[in-house]
Amino acid sequence: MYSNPFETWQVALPRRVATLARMEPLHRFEIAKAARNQNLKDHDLRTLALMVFDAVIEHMGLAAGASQGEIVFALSPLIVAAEPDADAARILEVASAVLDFLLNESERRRAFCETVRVVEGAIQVRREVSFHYLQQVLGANDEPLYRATVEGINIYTGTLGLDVEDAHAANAAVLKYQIGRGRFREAVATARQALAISTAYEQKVRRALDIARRDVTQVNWVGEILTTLDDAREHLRTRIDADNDILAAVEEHGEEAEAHERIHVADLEKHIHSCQSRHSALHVLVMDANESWLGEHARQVFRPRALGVLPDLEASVLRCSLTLIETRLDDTTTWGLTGAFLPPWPPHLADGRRLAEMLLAPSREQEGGDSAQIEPDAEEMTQAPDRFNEHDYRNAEGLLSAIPESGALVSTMLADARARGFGETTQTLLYLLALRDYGEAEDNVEYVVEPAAQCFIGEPYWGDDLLVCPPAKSVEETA
Amino acid sequence: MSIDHGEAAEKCGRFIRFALRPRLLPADDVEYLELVHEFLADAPFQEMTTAFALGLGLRVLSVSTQAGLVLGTTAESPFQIQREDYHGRMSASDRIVQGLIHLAVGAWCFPRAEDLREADEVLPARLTVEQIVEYLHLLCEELKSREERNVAVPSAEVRMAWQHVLALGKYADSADGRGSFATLAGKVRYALNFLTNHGFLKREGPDTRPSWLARPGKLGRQNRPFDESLCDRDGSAAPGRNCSDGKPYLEYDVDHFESRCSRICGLVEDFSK
Repeated sequence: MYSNPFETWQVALPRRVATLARMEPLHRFEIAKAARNQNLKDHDLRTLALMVFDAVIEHMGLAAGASQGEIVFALSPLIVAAEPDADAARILEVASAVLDFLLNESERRRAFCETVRVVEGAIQVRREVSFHYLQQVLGANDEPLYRATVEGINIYTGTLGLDVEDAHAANAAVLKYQIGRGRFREAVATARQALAISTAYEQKVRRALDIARRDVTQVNWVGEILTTLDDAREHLRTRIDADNDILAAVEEHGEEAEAHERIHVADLEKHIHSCQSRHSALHVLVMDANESWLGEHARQVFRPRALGVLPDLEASVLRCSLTLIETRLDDTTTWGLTGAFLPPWPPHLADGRRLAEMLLAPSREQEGGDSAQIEPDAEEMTQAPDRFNEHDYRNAEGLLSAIPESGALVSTMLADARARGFGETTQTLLYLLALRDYGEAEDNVEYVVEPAAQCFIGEPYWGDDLLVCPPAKSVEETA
Repeated sequence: MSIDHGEAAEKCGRFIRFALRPRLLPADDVEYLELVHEFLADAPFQEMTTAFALGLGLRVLSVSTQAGLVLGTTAESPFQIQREDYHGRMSASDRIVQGLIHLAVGAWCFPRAEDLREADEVLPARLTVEQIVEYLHLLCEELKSREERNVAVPSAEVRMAWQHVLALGKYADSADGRGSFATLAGKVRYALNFLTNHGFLKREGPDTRPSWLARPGKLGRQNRPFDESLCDRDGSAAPGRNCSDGKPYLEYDVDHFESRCSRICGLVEDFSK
């Protein structure tokens, strides 16, 4: 039988099978896309899922996670490449399908659970591998943000089979090698991976500390967490030293970089600085962890504690409550069932003075009636002067009333007005009065205005000339 | 009382006052956020606030920068919600169904113990009115078919809680689109809106098809009182198997649930009377 001096197959196989099992939901998602009612045949859902991780990990350094908008933005080039006609709604639909899968929304966001069979001793046993790819948290502004889990990040970085610490060390070796040989472009990709591994490590350490913060009795602080923290301190110290070495190497070799590679060197420095600051912040957290835990322990020690374990709400509480027998459900109990889930409700206090004020307060209409009207703080505006004065009207009417029965052209009347020395306002008024009656029914007009089939130019007026005639006299009037 | 004590007590009062405004989150108010930070860092302030709350009939369930100070009520607390505050006109059947709906919302979001345990930060599954209606209805249908197969051995005259749910129409809403309280969907919508108004849920999506996200620090904590009276079982119901005393598990669980429920609510009545 084959045996490895460092790791026997009995140890290695279960771990590697579990690694494969963690990829299984992603493959199923791709294979089953035809069964979905969303026409996803043109998309590789695994690619889209990995792109989600890329966007989320990128934002996890800056905030608690990535928003839906940021993820949709990152996915849209991939979706449009597969479906050139995709509009914003379609992009959102495809992106939502991927996000819902990664959250396991169809299973109410429970952990993905894969069963593997491994051999222990001489017998085969079934083991369950549970994991999440993505989780949702509320950000500082109460907006839902997506956050990748350690498993999700490991899938993206291709380090699923490794401990995060080992992945870190391997990544640093590759990075140094690439920088030493001036392969800055490849080094940028490796540095991005280093950042993702740092994020995974941060998640791992924070998760351990969060459990302790939530309930100190759930963790073996001395036996487990202190050991984890010691390892973390050591690992982070190594990482911070390695980051400094890598940065020094970049500075040394960056000077030799050719002009077109300078942009990669700058990018590389940015990623390494991000790693440095993340490791430093995590180091502070780890250094303070023991003190925080002691404080938490002091706070929780007198907290009323459950005597048993937490129940399965669905299996043992909801199902049982559905079988409660009506005769045993009196008024108090039925209300108690609802009230158990509801928050405190501040009672109304009858403050005598407030009560009297409230009861004696005038009704709203009265309230407004007696109070003096407050003058609005407004400035009086001066009335703009009329454009045409009485004089203009008189002059214009004089010209119009002098029109012979055969009519007169507007251009002629304007020339006549100019000749008489009337100003521009009178001329404008004359022109407007003529236009007013143009196209109107004869019964409604003061003058009959018709097109004259010629143009005129008489500054400042120009255009189609009009023939203005006095209204036809009625038969009675003529008689 | 010295001035220092007076100031400290006033500060505790202010902190509790913030917590009694259910939709207010520390992110919305700088002073509230400062008080949360102070609470998390200062053991004497924690002790004083907890004692202050207890004196008022309140229990400190959790404190976090996200959810703020989450309070529950003690037995006989003046802060316990009264049924008139919840809904003006509810029949006995309505009350049973409302209780089941709140349980269903809790179980939808935190189906298993580990979900409840991790319920401080990670958002549980999104929920819609239709999902809760179908979820509850399906469970009730399952119990009905089990009864028809005579697995659960209740007597024929006895009406059980699930029958109140199945007696309701699921979606027969009014023609103008407004939800009616008479249907299961209307009752679910009422419960979800109530929880939203009290800061437990966050409503999302368009008005025509809203969905809700549970605030884990609040809803999860409010559902945890169930652990306080679990003292002798691991909570995993296994219908069909028998307990050591020969009673079927399901019935055994019902008995336990009843005592659990009454103890939680501070409404202990001796059911065996």
